[in-house]
Amino acid sequence: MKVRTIKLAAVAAAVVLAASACGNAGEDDGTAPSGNEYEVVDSPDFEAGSRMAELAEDGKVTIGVKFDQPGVGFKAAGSDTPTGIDPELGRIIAGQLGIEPENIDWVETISDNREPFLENGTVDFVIASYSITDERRQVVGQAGPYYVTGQSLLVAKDDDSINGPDDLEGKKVCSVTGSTSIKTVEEEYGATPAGFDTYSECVDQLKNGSVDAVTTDGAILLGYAAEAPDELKVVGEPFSEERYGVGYSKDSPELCQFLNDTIEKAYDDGDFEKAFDATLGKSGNDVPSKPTLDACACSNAAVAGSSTGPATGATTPATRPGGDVDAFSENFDLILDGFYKTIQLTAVSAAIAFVIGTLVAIARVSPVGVLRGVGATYVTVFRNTPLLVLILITYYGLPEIGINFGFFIMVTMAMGLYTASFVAEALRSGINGIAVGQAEAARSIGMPFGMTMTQVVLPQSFRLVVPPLASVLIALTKNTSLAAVFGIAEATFRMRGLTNDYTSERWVIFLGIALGYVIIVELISFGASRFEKRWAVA
Amino acid sequence: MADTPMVAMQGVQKHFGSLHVLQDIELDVARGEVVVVIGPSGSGKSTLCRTINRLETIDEGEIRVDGEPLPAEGKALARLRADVGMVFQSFNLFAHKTVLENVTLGPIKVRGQSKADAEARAMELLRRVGVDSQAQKLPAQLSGGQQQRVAIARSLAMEPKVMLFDEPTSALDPEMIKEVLDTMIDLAKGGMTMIVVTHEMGFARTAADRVVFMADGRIVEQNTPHEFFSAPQSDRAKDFLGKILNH
Repeated sequence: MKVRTIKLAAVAAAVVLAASACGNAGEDDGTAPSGNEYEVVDSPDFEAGSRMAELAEDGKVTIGVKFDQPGVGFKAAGSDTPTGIDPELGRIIAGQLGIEPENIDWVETISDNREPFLENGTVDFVIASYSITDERRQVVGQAGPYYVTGQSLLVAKDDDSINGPDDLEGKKVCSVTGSTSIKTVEEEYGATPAGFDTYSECVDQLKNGSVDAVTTDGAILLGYAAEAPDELKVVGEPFSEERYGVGYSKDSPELCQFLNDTIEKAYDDGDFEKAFDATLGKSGNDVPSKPTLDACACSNAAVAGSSTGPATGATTPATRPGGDVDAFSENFDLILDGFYKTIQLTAVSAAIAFVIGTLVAIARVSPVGVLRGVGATYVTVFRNTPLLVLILITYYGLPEIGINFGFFIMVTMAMGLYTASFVAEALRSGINGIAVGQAEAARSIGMPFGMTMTQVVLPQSFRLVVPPLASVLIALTKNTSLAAVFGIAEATFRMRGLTNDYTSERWVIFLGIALGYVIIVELISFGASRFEKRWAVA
Repeated sequence: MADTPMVAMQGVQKHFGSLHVLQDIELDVARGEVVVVIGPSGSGKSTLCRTINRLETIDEGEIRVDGEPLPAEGKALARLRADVGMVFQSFNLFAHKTVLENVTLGPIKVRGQSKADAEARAMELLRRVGVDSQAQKLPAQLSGGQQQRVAIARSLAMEPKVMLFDEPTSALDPEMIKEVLDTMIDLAKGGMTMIVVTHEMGFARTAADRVVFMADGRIVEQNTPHEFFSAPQSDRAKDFLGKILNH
């Protein structure tokens, strides 16, 4: 296995070297890796002051594309230019602005940062399998669609249990955090969502069995299936319509018509077919027929009034209607559900931590040397390993050697075992804080070691260690947010999703979720002080 | 079996590092006998007391309680300890339990008595040591003298064959010493086998059957209280008595 990886890496390195050697041999002409060339208009004519005129004047443009979706938007390590239908369209659009392909600055836009990059001007356009939705059109402009596809499912080749979206109930389905497809499978088909930053991570999850399916647009999934036809397959009919648009900033609504015209022209003069054949067409699919483009009046509705001419009164302001609490009022169920998961993670991990931690603490003070050694080793190993590393080991490592109890249990186990080392040390300091005479008195009335601990020493230690144990529990509560990284839909995961969907309300969302954590932590503190009072001895 | 001493120590040696704290200890304590161990600080008398229920281990020699050698560890040792009562200088009442629970914990958990039986017996013992009115309080709410009497009741509740007292009055204010000593004198009169490490010479005179004088880890001299206090044999004992009686 390892040898093969190294071989592959060597081959890849050789390819990269060869590629860069070619690039250096002659002047980089910026030609698309597909070999396609598109018309570059000489001194195009745009209305003065328009964004198109500015871009044409600058002679360069920044375009955001995916770097990790074979056939759609993909850039190999070491390569200068991305390949796929999206970058091809980017070159077509640049050409219409009179910009040479080598003057395009390619920026990776993962699903999470498409809106922010457009809003803050990091990119001029986003062409990144960017489905047109009403929610997105509240914050950015989306011209097109230039391509219509549909949500499908990618599963393991030997998996016969999933044949369509109706089989997803209770299955763990992976997609990119903040994408529309992950919401659809969760809300309409009852799947358990697992969110990651990139589809390639999702595909890795699928390959190692951590998730049951990957869902997103069929075009993207076909790209992955084509890369590993022995392991993966795309199943079922597309169960949604995804309309890819070109994202642009709402500050320049005039871009919409230009983009729509460019897309129409590319379909009419065959450039789009050329682009398709060189990319997605390689999977054997035929070039799609020209989709019906949305009128720019509708793409730009939100800002039409303020940017062109006097306000008509028929249009709404740029902010979302209904004020600042929409993100919460519209998603209250999801947020509650997220915190329920957070509390669940905390409770299960804490239960594991307290049981194991108490045993380890007893081992560390026991009269048996071997047990003391085992206890000390446990604390050394688990306290000194970063929690994230522990979760990675249980998440990726244990399934490889055949241990897999499902993701929730694996994550809580990692968090429980980690926290147990802190519980053990807190308890040990409590045990050491109990006068030795207490144990001697217990032994002198005939109590064996175990009874001495459970009847006399530990009950008093627990009182002493309530404050440090509360701190450990609070740290654990916040540590559970790490589970979001692994696609468990707890509070932090929900926060990430919401900040993507409601970009104008990010501060409110951050503060709201933080408040939720504060409430949980305050409850723990309150409970701790109650325990301390109840167990007081004087 | 009546001839078997209750406690028999033979050739006991113990070191703390390079310090030889118990040297060639030979001591038999008969059934019903009250032995008071006295001596200067650091003479090893507390250590001797603690070896008898193995709170301290010994390096060499043998200790028998009621004819049986001390088990090294585990359940057998716990069983033996249940038969040997111990009263500590610092009381060591279980801080999280009420007075009554302190006395009933051993009978219930170790002896397996019912809660009702254990409580009835505990109240009787608390009455005997004069703290029955404090039964529901926590130890920290009691005076030192009261706590030590509860500790005695806790030991008695286990029906021990022998009781060890490790400087039971050293941590007490003078006015509380008497109430504890009176309790111990009552016990002695009742026929309990007792080994008492103390600095209370008055108690030694009135209650002891025998005084054992220790110095530098050795038993230097032993005699009846009358003989010991009026005519000590060794220079070490004369010196010690001279210091504590003439000030």
